[in-house]
Amino acid sequence: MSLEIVLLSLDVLLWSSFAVAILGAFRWRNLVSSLRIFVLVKITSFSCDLGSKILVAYKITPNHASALYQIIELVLLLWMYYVVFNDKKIKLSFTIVGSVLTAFGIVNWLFIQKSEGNTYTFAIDSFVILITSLYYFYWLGFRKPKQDSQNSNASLFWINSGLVIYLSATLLLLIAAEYIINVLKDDFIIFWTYHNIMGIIANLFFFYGLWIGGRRETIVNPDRKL
Amino acid sequence: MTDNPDTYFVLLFVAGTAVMLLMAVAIVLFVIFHQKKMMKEEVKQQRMELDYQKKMLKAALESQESERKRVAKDLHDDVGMMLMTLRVNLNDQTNNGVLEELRQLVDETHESVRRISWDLMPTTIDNFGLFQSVQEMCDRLSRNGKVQVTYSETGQRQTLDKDQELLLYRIAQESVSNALKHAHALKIEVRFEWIDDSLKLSILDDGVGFDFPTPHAKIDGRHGLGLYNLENRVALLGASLAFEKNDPTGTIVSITTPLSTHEPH
Repeated sequence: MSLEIVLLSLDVLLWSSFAVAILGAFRWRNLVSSLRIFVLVKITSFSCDLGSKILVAYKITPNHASALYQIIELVLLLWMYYVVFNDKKIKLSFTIVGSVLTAFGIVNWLFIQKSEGNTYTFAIDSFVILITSLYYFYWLGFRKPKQDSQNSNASLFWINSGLVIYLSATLLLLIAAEYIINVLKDDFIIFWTYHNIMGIIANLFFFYGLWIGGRRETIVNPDRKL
Repeated sequence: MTDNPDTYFVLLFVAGTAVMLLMAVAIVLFVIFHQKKMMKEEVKQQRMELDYQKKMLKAALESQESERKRVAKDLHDDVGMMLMTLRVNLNDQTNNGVLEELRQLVDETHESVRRISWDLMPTTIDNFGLFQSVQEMCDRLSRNGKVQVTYSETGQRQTLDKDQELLLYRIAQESVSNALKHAHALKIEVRFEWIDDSLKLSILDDGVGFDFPTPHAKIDGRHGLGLYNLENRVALLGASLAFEKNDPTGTIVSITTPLSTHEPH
């Protein structure tokens, strides 16, 4: 597998993120608060990926953009799930976990892994988001379905499914990334292409989720206003 | 297979990732089926609650009709008979001015009692059916000359059961009463149209119109009692209710009843 394949998959990933972000932006008015936060995640994702490309063009390591994205993504996703659960008990745990991981992400970026790919942050954050998204399924399973919020629930369901599939498929890769690169001395091309393909699949889930979430003109908003 | 530790790592990595991916897909599928099952149960429960509410409503309306029937019968048989006796006795007395006034008062009271009794439960609905009763109601209202209430029926008449007839009669009565009382209509048309497998009852008036009920008003309970009764009866019929503006003024109330099920819901 050549470098071109990785770059091609990266481009497809970038533009699929763009498509999701644009869809979310166009349907912003029809979306509930939690979905709006997710749109912010995708806008950040696209901006950081684009930033990486610009940094590469200027011969600067693109890892700074992805390290920044990882920190912002964690905060936004925890905020999204907090809005969805709307439970005061969860607020404290989310605040503590979010603060600790954000602090760790910044320290890792500035002092530990620096301009290398911040794989420690990626792995830990992905694990936390995976656990949270699995908890969402658990929460959904014991929740009485409501007709009024059916649309937004279905939308969040598909977004959450995309996150669960993407994170389950890439968590081991992120954990083992250091070993693969530094010990196995692998060029990471196959692994990174696989990661990008999973990202594209996740974006398809996100696109469908936002498509059905913003379909109706009027929607009963079960969440707090953003 | 080679004993290279790198190969073991890659195999372990691929197997671990595949297992995690499969588990993720399995969880998503499980949640989809579980949610669908829950949704089905929820719909089933809602349907049961709705059926129960309809049964309660039907029982309440039946009890109301039975009470009306009893009061109408008492008024007609007892009070009406007593007034008639009084009138006959008065006729036997020597004729003077006071007695004439009394006779007139008794006649008016007797007429009022008959009208109230008829409004409560028209005998024609049992004897001659819905359409004759509605026609009679229109004729009776037009008789005083202040309002013109017309009746029309088009299409091939089909059989309705007694419950449906009574519900439709009450709907027509309530709608005409609303047009007279609230819209101050001078011309009202009660129209029955047999269209394929449905019966459409329309009440058209030239009154001042009214603010059509909105879903919010329904939720807030800001409905008038008349409209509430109208909607309940329409729901029991399994019919649909529509309000439109009449041209140039007034309102058209339309009730479309499906005829495929003869039993009211």
